[in-house]
Amino acid sequence: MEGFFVGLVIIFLVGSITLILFERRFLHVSFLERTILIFGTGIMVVSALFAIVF
Amino acid sequence: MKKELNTIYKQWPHVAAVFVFIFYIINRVWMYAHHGAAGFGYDTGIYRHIIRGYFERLGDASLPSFGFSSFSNALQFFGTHTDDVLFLWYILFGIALCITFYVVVKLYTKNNIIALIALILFATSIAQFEFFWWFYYRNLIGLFFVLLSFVFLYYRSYLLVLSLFIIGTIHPLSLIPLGITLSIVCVYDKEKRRYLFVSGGVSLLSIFAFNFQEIVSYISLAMQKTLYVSDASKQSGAELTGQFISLDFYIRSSFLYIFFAFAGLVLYGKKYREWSIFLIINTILFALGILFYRRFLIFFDVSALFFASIFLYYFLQDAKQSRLLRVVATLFFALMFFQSMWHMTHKQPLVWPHEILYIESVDSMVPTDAYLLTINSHYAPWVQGFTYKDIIAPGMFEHDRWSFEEWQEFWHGEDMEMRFGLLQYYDKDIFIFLGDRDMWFLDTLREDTRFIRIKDYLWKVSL
Repeated sequence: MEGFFVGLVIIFLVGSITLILFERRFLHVSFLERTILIFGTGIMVVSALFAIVF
Repeated sequence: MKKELNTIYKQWPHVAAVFVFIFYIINRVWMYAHHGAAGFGYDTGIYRHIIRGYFERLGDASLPSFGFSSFSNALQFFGTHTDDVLFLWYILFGIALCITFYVVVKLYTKNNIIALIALILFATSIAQFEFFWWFYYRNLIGLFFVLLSFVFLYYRSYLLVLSLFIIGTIHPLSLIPLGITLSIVCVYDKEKRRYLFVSGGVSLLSIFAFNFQEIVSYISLAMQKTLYVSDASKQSGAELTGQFISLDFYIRSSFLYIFFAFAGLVLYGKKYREWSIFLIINTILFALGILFYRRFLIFFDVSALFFASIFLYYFLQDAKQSRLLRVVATLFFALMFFQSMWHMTHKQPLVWPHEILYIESVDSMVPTDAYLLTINSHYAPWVQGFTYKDIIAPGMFEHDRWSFEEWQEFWHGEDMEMRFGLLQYYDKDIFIFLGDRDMWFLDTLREDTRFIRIKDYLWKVSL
């Protein structure tokens, strides 16, 4: 179960960093929108990086 | 206290949305809470096999390309257990899907009440419940990113490149209606043309670069089986339709809102062009009977819910003065919730939890190098997903060597020597698994002492 939360935290971390670097305007939208954007972006970036590396 | 109540009253759409969201979570988690691993549909076992198998062979270049594995491997790399990727992350995506739909509707309509109505329709939609229950994991992720793409499109964010890339690698089928929609928008909308041309072009090139094998396999499947599957043979028809629900089931389950959806499209379609095009494209793809066409019902339903919520809002606004229409509206929403709850509580799993336990126990009783044969393709995905054995199943996977006629001989033939002759096609020990539905075969197994009972659900073949 710990692995689930570690993965979730990493996803949100990667998503936040990506938005800070490339789409800072998304950090000023509503809470729900921001959450979904961070989550979705995190999934996309992590999956894409894994696709490239492996 | 009065101040708090006043605040709640002013924010009532948001408060109501929270309660609807809680209902949604209960609705989606219900089957899993009651039946565990048996609580979802057919693809559960297949995905467990894939998630586990691709991670065990991480870095193996000989594995066929499978975009979904980038997602599942990444999570397991971070320490997430296979079953947590399979169930917890699936439920999490289901929750994220609901939130994203709410966010998208709110973004495009700029109206909290329309978003609330859309949330109610989405949470109570039987089509969406069935979609979630069938466990089309990649399709679910695909739908989530389709909705996220609409968010990026709204903001003209170049993160659209990434979402299209992810859809194209994880679930290419989801890209078809979205890709066609964006192409049409690119043609008629001068302001978005450059943005869509760049985003679409870069993502398409990336998809072909990273997921070429899978795209080619889809194209060759379409060529072999013909693009149109309406008149496919019964044997292959189910798979080629994309399975999922039939049109008449969909109409029966969505009749409460489907007319509102078409009314909304007619009256407000011009205002929300991207969504109109998306709905029309999915209607055409379904109507044409294109490969895996039943899956387009999912996207059709989402866009139908979008327009149904808009129509209902304006209709209810206009009918504010009419007490009768207020009563009818209340009954409508009550019926939606009732219908959803009735469907959820009466839904039966495809297998039972004790059958999953039987399957899981097989690994400890069957040698590593033996085949596990299931006489019923119904159990095949779970047997494959919840054991580490090479599976022989009627018409499924890579180890089956019998034709349909030979399977029929094995199931119903009177000649036991013929039956053993068929078993001798295989070069390893064979163990036979029987689920609850297969107990009729016990009489056949008891006829010959070469079938050795380990448990009622597990028999060894002594050749």
